[in-house]
Amino acid sequence: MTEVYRTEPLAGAGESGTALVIHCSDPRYQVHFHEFLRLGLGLERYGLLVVPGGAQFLTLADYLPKFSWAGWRWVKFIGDIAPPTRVVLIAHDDCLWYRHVRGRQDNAAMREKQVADLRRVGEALRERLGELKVELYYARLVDAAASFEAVK
Amino acid sequence: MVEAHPSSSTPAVGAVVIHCSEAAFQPYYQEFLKRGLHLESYAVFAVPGGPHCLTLADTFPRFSWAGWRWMEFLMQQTKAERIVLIAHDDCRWYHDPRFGFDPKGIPARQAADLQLLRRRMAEHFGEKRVDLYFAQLEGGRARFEVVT
Repeated sequence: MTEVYRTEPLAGAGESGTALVIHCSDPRYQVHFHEFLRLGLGLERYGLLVVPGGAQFLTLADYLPKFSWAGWRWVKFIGDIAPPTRVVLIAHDDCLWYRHVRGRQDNAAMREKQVADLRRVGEALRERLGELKVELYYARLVDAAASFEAVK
Repeated sequence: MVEAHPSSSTPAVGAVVIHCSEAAFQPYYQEFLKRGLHLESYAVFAVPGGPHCLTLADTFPRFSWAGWRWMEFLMQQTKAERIVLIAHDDCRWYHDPRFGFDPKGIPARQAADLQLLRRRMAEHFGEKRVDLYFAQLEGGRARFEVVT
């Protein structure tokens, strides 16, 4: 194999994380998520689960059980090799996966469902992984920037 | 009443990227994608073992089923013409006893899985550019090698 790139030395990189972050795959948000995690939350290293819809896949045990089955096994694996003490779940505005799974909904109803899912997954993670600091956030695009709100 | 959603279509993006969840590599992946591959906009699919889940149709089909459904959604939504698959050294997912891999053979296994997935991607999504990389940590840095 031929080397094509060598990174700069990065503080905190290369070490196991004590946080688990779950967010959506949406390309509009990736750079904003990275910035928020590093600069907004001060997270240098974290295990990362990224799929369309973010943490919603952990709520689908009845509706789409294969997503949920796979998702909880991935969570268990991460919990076994690097038990997190902090979990960050991020949902975002105009999530195309939610529209894909749930059909046409107005923005308010969709946000309400997303927030309910964040809370539900946060509780389920506490039950399965033990004492955790669980933080929930909701992101929206504002022109070329992104705004992150804490969800209580 | 359903509101109009003018932003409910994702603009064309540089790539769909699949990599592992492992914490040690996340900042390096971000730097590699931005500075190494010059990708400004990309969709991410990150789970333990990264692309490996897509090879598990015969042994752990629910991982594979979920992975391919998400990939189909991402490829449809993003209209991406490029797929980037990254495996990494000392991947603890590959070392999990459930797979029964010989530890000495894991790097070769990972490379073979990436090459298999290049063919599978062509079957699923037609002619796309599929780039395969293998990452290793080295002295506080990460080096990325291309898998041919």
